[in-house]
Amino acid sequence: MNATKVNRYGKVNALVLPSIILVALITQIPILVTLGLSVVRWIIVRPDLRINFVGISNYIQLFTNPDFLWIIVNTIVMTVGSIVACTVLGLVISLTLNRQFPGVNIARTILIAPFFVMDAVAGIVWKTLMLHPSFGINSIICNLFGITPVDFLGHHPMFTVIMLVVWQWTPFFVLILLAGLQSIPEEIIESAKMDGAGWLRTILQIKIPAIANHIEVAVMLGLIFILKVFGLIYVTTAGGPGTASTNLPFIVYRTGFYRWDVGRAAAMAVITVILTLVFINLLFTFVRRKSKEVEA
Amino acid sequence: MKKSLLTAISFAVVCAAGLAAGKAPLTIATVNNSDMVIMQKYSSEFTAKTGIPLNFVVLPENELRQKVTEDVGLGAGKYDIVTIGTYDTPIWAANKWVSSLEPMFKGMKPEEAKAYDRDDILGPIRSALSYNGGQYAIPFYGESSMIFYRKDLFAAAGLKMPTNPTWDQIYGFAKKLNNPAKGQYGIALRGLPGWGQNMAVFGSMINTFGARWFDMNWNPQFKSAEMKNVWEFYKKIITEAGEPGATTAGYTECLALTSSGKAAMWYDATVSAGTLQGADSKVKGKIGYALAPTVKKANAGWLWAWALGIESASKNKDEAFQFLTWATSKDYINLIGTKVGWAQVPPGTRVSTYNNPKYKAAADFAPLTLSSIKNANYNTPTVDPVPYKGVQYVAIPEFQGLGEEVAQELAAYLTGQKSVDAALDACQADALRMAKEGGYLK
Repeated sequence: MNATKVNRYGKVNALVLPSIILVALITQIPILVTLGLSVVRWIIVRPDLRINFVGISNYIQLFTNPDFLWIIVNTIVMTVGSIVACTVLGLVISLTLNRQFPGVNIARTILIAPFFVMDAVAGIVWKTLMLHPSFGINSIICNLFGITPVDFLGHHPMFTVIMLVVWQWTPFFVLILLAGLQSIPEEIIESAKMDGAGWLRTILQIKIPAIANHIEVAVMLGLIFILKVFGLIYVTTAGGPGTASTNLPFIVYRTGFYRWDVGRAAAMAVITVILTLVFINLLFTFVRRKSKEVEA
Repeated sequence: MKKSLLTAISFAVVCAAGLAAGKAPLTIATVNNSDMVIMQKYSSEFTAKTGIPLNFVVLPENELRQKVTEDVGLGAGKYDIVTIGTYDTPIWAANKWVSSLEPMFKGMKPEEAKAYDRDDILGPIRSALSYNGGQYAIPFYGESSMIFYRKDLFAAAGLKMPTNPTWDQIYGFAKKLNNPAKGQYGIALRGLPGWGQNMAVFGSMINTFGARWFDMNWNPQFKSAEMKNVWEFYKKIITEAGEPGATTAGYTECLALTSSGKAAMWYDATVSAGTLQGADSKVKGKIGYALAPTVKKANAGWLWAWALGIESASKNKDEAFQFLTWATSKDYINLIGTKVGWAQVPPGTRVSTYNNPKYKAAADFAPLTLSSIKNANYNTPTVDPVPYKGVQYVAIPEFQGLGEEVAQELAAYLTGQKSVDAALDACQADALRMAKEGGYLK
């Protein structure tokens, strides 16, 4: 038995070796290069200073910089806030769209559309046409009621960025959760109704547990993508005012393309990757533990 | 089969012969402003004249700088001609990223040199595009800064704008003309964070208020009383009489506010005058002009030019120089004046443009633009001596990063996210770190 396994795996390994090498080259080389760059001091616009090995100095400087620590906090707030809002809204919308009513297909298409709008376009539309206190709908509505327009991007930058992320990413959650809801056998719902379960109880005790795996997938993918949000921030707040809406991807960009500080930008990128992996593992562990509790 | 093979070979030979007979195309990286778009539109005339094909890569300012810096910094040599500013030119020249144009000017035939008339280029702009006495880029258009104001609103309010106003006078006018309930703001000032956005305006304010970025030993000066004073004034004038949502108002938004009649005054680039007097402007014929406002330092206007340079790695330098001298020639200005309109010719580059009666008739802002550019203090921008050049920026490579940080701190202060002292402390710490790491502060 064991010998067969060894032979079988040995044969498989030999067959997949070229693919493993190719995938490793494609995926790991950029990471290795980034790791290598994170231990050097290299300012592109100062070629006279040359490239110097500085060990972990870039990392030490980052972790002793209060602004950088705040940016990590910003990233966590932005990601967690967006995912919680996307999950709740996504669930509500998908439950609504899982019913049959006239025009349901049109409603589904309209509600899912924001997900297909490009970041830059969404950012410019929201910044200029919707929220701008002089040109936007914000100004028109406030003027109708005789109140001063709210400067969303200036005074509430984090809230506004989260709002835009939620606007853009909720449809993604809706797509996944709706697929889950539609896969619940009709008989189960009918049985629950016959047993006297009301709509709220059906949702809480039948539908949500039935789509737990779908929620897990949506949150996991959402975490990976929302942690990397860049375009919306670049177009709307440019990370400001100050660092109020700066997240890790944006500070990597600013350090790399305004300061031209390759070493420090690479160190930030490494930290971003590590944090992403930590978050995903934490979430995965939490979800698995909850699943086991439910099963028990 | 044989026939197909012969056809294919014939086609390949014809293509190869065509390429050999033609000239290598020039790749030009340029910025997406109106003057450059016009240049691109009429560049077919250059190709018709010389047979040199052109490939344009047109990008917004920030992206252009990033792409081109990547290209030259890593020695990729993707572009033959790059559009760079007065800030970039001396730094790139020092890094040997762009070629000196001196040998090419010396190689011109006498009749070509006479027709081009290099001495006609405005002195301050030419000086800002030079390094160690040699010219590294030729200006395509140049600008300073000035006040644009609504003559009709001033007349209705019984106000009179002096030719050389102070910032206190501007504040007083802005307060009187500010009427947000009617959608009219006293003044439009850039507040969008960015070293080329709010810092362009604020950088020139820093100088005239008597503040400076560094002292002669490169010690940061953000903790000086003058610096605090200019920060507080900037916030006061914007919050009390400026546009709402100032941190989202960059050049384009301020131009839109002014040209749509929502701003009574605007302090910005002289090059905007042509647009405000354009056919699409709601304030056409209603705009008056005044010099950049002052406090302690006279001649407070900034100095900027978008210029064309040749990448050191270019393999087509002679052809590139031909294009540079075509696009910045008197003939090109005449071409645009004739075909597009005299108010739309690239301003701020040649003395002859300002002596041209057709331009003077079309552009009532011309005399003030010329005097603003001529008087801009590029080499001695501040009241107290400084070790750097540049009016609205510090001409060192690290300024892009430092300027961005200060721009963000200014925006944080403007929106009340930070106190003035906290913001200035952050700027001081950042400037100190930059001065040490860059080897400026010993």
